[in-house]
Amino acid sequence: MNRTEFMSALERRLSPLSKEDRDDALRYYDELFDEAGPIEEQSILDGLDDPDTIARQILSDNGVAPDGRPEFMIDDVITPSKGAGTPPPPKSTVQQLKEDFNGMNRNTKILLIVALLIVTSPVWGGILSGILGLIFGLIGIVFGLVVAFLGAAVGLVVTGIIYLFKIPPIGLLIRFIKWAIDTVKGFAAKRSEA
Amino acid sequence: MGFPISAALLDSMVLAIVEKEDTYGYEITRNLREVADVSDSTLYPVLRRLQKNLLLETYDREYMGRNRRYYRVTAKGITALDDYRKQWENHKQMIDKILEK
Repeated sequence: MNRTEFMSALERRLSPLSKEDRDDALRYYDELFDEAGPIEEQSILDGLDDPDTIARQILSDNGVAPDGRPEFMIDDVITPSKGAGTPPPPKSTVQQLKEDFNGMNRNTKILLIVALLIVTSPVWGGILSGILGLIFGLIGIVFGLVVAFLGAAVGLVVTGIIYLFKIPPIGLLIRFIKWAIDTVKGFAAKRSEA
Repeated sequence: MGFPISAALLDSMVLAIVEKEDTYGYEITRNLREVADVSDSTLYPVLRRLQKNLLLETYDREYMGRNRRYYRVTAKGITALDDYRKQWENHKQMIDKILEK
């Protein structure tokens, strides 16, 4: 057995390990051969246990039985692998979306909201335009009415003043009415004194 | 060497060697060989265990166009080593009490 054979045999036997653990072990042995140099290669190999024994030790140190089935833990260094135990119940789409959304940062949220608004604009765009149209229409009506009333008032006053001069008898008539009222008032006052 | 070396003793010796000076796997075995029959394949699990227990940490340094993995003792490792030293001292005295004439 030479270095290459040793390394590939070891790699095969360590396949149940995580990549990190496997690479760490292979790296150690690779470096050993590098340090010793090609001339010492055989004496290094002679000093080492066979790949099977070495792999067995490493696997058991990592809590993996040599057949690849995790069987036991050593010390406190092994963290339980992901997916162990019963999987959590599946989440509803809405719940999942909610969690996804809450997990985002603020800028992403704003961008998402703007994008959503743009995408759904055909739906709410019509409704919004309708409401806006109604509001502006009402404002128009009120404005129109106010202007119309003001116009009418001004027009009537102006016309009145013009007619006051145009048809003097109306002015006289007004004076006469005033005189008549005063007379009646005066008459009434005299009677009440008597 | 008539007496087997226990795992705890091996741990403490490796910690003590690395504490003196940051060093690499091959060199650690050469150091241990001076006092015990320790093979290169014995050392790897020891190093890995110490590393996973955060007593040792590694860093890579270039040497002759390749990376050499150096080991260094952590603060936790130094505490553990001090503890090992006290225990060893204790152990030695107990054995000596019986062995001494």
